[in-house]
Amino acid sequence: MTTEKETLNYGPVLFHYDLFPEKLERHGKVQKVITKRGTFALKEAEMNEEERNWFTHVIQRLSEIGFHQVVPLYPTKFGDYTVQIGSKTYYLMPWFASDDRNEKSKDEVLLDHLGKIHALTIKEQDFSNEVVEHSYQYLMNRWENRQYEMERFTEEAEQKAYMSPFELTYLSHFHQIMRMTEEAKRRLKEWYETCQREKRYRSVLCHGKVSRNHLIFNPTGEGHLLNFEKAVLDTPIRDLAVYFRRAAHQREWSIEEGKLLLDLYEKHVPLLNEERGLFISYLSYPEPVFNAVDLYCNKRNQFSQIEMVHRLESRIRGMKKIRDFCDAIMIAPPPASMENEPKKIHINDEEDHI
Amino acid sequence: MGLINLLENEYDLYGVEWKQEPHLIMTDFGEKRLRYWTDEERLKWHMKWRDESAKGSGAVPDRMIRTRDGEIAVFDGKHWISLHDSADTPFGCEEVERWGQFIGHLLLASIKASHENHECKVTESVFDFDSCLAQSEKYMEGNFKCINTSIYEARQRLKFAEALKRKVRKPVLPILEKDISISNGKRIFHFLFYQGGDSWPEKGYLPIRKFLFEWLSHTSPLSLRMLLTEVNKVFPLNGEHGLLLLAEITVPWELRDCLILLDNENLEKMIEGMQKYEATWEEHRIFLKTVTQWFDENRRKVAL
Repeated sequence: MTTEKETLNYGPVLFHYDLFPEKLERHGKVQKVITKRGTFALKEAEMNEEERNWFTHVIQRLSEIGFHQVVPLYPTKFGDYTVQIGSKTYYLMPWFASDDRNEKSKDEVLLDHLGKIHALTIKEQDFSNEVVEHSYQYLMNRWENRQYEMERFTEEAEQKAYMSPFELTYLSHFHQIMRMTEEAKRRLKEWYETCQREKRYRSVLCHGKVSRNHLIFNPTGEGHLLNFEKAVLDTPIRDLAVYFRRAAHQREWSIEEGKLLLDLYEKHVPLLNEERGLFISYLSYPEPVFNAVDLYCNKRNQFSQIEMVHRLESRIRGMKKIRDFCDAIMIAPPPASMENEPKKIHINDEEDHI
Repeated sequence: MGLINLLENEYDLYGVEWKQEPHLIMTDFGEKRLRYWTDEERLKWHMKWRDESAKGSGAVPDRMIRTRDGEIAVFDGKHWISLHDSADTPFGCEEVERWGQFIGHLLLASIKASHENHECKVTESVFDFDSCLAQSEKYMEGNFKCINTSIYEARQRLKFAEALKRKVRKPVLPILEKDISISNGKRIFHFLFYQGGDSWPEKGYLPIRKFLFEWLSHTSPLSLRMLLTEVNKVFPLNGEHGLLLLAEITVPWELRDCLILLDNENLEKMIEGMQKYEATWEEHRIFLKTVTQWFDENRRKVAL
């Protein structure tokens, strides 16, 4: 039930759209706004001016370059695509009710859409040693620092007379985790060396926050992407790594399914060897396991030992699946390119692209 | 095609009716106001200050509602006609913070705009002390104390204002709407909705001076100081802009208004005019004192 206070809180935002809510329902960071003019989704976000401009630019440009499977933004009556009130940014979209019938095909649609966006925006960048060097050093330093933190945690645990079940579980897998770390670092170094040798790298428009939750189906069953707030120009591997890392930790996820989805993506953008190496590097790095350790160190009072151990074991199982997946994709032959491959346009081209 | 039809088509409105011809209409989106512009540059200037001052401010100026093609106005063959929201409930002066934010953002936007090239005609008021002196000549024989004192004070203030202006090497003055008034502030939900005007823009701080004086007349010296504090949070007044604002407030603009009040047709009217003169002069003296005190306090805080 909508209270008068809620209407007052969102009134100044909805005023920009000349909407008078009959009912408001909170769904996470989205308000379902029911009005006489229809039902809308009002998203609340935190973006600075530059981010707001980039966000609206991305949405508009995707449509201009022929990608229409994006949940559209409604302009305000003043022609803006976002409303800024205090530190919060709001934008309005049509409300699409969730449709369970499409849940199964969600990942396929997601990867297919991602592939299309990447294919439409791919651009071979002019080689800049400085950029590659910086990206490599930044990531390597971050990974080494994390590795050092984990080694310190291990040393501290080893010194205890009575280790906790979590520490015991972690230690029993420690060498395996460190092998994964070293493998990720080795792959990253290989990518760096190939870039130096080949003097090339590609960038695409990355969604930035790929997730099943950011794909919804319209009433006709067509999948639409949303939440481009973190969209960025980067290697296509950025989006792929985010998706596969998360997917691999789902209980029902299988290597076959992963291969199928990657093939689906590669029909749009076949990966170069060094990109495949970078992808494996990103996936191999056991960040999810390290995050479980962080959670144990920082919030151990909020969860029981058994919950912590289960989480850690699940992450380790996920990493094993990822390792097998990486082995499988390393030997897989590249798929044939699509007959009707879309024309490649780049996000930064002034002539005909974002 | 009539105006109503034109508006319905261009703005995707339905069932439009006149509420108060030719300025107010009722639409399926509520009451809207029409503004008529004969000059396109003026229309664009008014669109720009409204759009820019809305950014980051909690207040909402009456921005131009866009047509379905994204235009800021429609042309009916004679004028450009823009569509705006309309509200009746006065906002009042209680929420100093919201007014301060709005004035601050308005000044920020107008300073930013003054750096840009604009083709719009801009007026700039100049205080003419000599014409005031000439007007006061006829009352000098009467040796009225308040006139003599005010002329003396006005001369001193003018010198002080000039000295303040000289401290700023390259003055950048805001370009603002001529009349910024509390009465233009309306309430929609809990926010300040500011109904702007359509006059030619004015260069300088005179519109802000008038607004601050109006604020004092409606509230108290304490409230005026609070308002300046709020403006200062958004638009810092401790630098050159503050000096220029203080200079504008120091210029004895009210002398001209006071002299107009005098009427020597007969003794009764003369006494009445003189009383009004004294009262107006005194109100402005309090105004200047309050603003100066705020600047002094602010300077002390910065020094500490």
